[in-house]
Amino acid sequence: MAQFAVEDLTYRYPGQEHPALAHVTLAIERGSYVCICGRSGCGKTTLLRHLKTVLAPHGERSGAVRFEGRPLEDVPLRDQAQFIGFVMQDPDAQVVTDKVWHELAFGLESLGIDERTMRVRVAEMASYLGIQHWFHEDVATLSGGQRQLLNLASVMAMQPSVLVLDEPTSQLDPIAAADLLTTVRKINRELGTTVIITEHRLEDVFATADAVVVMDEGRITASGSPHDVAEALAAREDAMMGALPAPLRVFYGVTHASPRKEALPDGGSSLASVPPLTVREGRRWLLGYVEERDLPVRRLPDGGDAFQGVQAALSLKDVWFRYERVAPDVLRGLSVDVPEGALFAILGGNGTGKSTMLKVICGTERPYRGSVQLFGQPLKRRKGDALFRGGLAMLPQDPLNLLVKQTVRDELAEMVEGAPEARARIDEAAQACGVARLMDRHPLDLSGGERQRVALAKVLLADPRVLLLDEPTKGIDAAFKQELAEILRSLVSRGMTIVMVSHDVEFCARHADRLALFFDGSIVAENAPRPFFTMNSFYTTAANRMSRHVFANAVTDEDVIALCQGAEACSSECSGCA
Amino acid sequence: MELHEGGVIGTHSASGFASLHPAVVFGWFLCAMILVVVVGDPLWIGCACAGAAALCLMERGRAGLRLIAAMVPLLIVLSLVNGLVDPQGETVLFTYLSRPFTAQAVLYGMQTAGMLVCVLLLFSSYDRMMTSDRFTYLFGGAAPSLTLILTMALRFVPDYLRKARQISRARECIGMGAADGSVRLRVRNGADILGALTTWALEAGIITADSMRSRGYGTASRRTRFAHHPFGMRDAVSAASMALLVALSIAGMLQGTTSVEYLPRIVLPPVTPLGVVAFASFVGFMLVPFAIDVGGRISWRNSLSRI
Repeated sequence: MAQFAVEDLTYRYPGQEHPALAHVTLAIERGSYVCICGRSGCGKTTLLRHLKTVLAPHGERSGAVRFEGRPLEDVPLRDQAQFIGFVMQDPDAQVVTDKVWHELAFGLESLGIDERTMRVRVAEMASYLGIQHWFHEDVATLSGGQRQLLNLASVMAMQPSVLVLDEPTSQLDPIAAADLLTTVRKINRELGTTVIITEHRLEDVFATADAVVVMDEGRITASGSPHDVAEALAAREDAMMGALPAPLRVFYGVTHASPRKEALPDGGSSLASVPPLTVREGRRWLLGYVEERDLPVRRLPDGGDAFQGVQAALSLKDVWFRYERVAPDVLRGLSVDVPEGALFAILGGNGTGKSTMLKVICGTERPYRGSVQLFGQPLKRRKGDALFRGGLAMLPQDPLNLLVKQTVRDELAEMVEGAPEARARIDEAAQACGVARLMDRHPLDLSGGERQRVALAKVLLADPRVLLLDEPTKGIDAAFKQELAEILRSLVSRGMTIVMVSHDVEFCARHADRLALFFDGSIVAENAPRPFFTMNSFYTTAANRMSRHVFANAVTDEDVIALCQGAEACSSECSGCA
Repeated sequence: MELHEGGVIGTHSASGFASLHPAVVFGWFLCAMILVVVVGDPLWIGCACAGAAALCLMERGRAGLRLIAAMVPLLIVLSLVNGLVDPQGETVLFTYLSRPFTAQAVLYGMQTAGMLVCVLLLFSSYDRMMTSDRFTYLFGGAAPSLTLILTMALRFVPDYLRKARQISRARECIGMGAADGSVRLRVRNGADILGALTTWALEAGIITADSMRSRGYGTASRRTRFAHHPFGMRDAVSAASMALLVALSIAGMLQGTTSVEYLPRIVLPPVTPLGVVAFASFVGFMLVPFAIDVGGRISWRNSLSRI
């Protein structure tokens, strides 16, 4: 018997024409790890919320959800609270109390568990997850990743048999996200807890999952083992392909012309192996592929430096900064020149000072030594309006921090109030960012990706020559990322300089003109993407890690596919010659 | 399996005053603040200030020193302001705008300011010693739901402030900061930000409520409590001695040993044996937390030397 059975579930939000869930049928086995994916707004969150009565939204519903054979609404709420653990997206708002220990105990207190048992449960969970060091801390002092781990731990302390996670990593940086997913996997493997998870970032989850469910417009469009789902998506060239792990994208990109079921012309029978899900499998597959074909071309042209000798739009020289007199330096002799018209990406881990650097560039913090120059002019001389109007502008990490009005139109109008041709400029910015049809919506009703674009439109109305972006791809799905990239490319093509601080190695590799690695308060390496990543071996794209033993400088999956296919075309010619 | 009583939750050290039962700590702060407000004698106030400052130093270290230093100008300004607004008193130092500026008014101002400074210093230590969880432990026993609401409210304030800072910083970086634009615009922007904060808080509130219900809030007939503060011998002894000291101080105050007259001229009450005892008790009471902290450090040191 399946632990959870969703039977022909159809659900409509009040006042909505289209159903958010349409005839969803799904069975989840005890102890399995199920990943539900799909682009934002596909109904995956709505589906998850139906797995717990207190979270199920109001509206028109038909069909049934069964938990261990019983209709969910017949399972007492106390049992649901205990056995069905639910972790939500927002790491901050789902914390209830102000102390770590109290948060861990919250669920047990609610269940009325006696004090001694509660102590043991909390103690073992804290020790198992290794969070005992911050047991007495204030929740406010924890980082986003720590908070999300705390949310997971406080649910686990109730010893649930099912763990439901709704995009738990979307607000986290990749390191914290990987940590959290590792913990979830450990819980699944070592405790046998059933895991049902939705994710944008499929790199980690796809290979771990026993079953994958793909949703689109409230329907399940594919489900089964990761391999079956990948095969199905590839066969119909689904838009979700873009969200799959790099090894799979490369595999299907290369074998697209000759599907693997058919025998390959040169008798490459070993290629009819299983599609690779991880970098390790990808490396093995690629090695086999290359050996069978004896590829002559193993290197792509480096494509000389287009920004050689271009004037610097923004330049930092030997900048030192600390927050307090006795505190350690956060920026330590930072020097960087951002060439005009470049999309310049700065990569680096947490707490290395990247955000502080943005503050210094914006002039909200002052370095105690060194200078910041905007188009050859020291920042100190430009104050207030003069700096931000027609100069710099920054898109913050959380776009909601910029959105304070009732409608999108008011948001944009605020920026050009009293300026000539205000309406035309608003329309232009709305067009550029693709928010023209959202003009009368409330910012809070928009999805993450839509908010991001509205905030970007607002920032663009400040008419910046240098645009700063702080983690622009955080919490948005693969499709929105692609749209964002197109917007950024079009801005750069019109001469704007963009400086982007990011954790998103894949995004930067694909779209940036120049990359810099930030570490310990300054920049340790800077180059064009191809040479930049070729030099690194850990901090690089999955496609590069997968191919570096056979190709010299393939960075994106397109690079790997091109090298594989270019060689294939050549080898067939050669065999013709012979 | 045998289950053990856990250790004490939510204190930063097991030796200091803050490690006593929350009721004892809260009782001391409550009595100290009331005594300081009702007492009228500058000598008593001075000693109370010294006690509060010592505690503040002990608890907050360097930051405490800065806070104490900041209190000095406050004391001076408040005393002078009282001199300016109160024309009574017989020792006229000088006249301004045909109003007398008297020594008595300044001294009276100093006493009021001293009281204020003392209360502020006490609050700064209170913050450290009576953490929110201890407060809610103390008063939430009877009503666990109320405790929870209090805890959430306490978390809400810093969250709200942090979000407000984030918004204003984000706006600064697109040239729409609080200091940019005309006054009318700034007022309107301020109102918008406040509105956005409220909407944000409501949204966050919905998520928090979901998270609570999802974790079984309200499903059990009785919530249990994780926090655990046993009332031990140390607590009983401290509470009893504090009660004795307070009783003696109050007895003295009722006999009028602290009723100082300032206006028109300063009249000190006569020195009596009861007055001396009451004063000593008061000073002793104000120094209780400091003494316990110091005692704790000494016993810790001794335990070190025995290793």
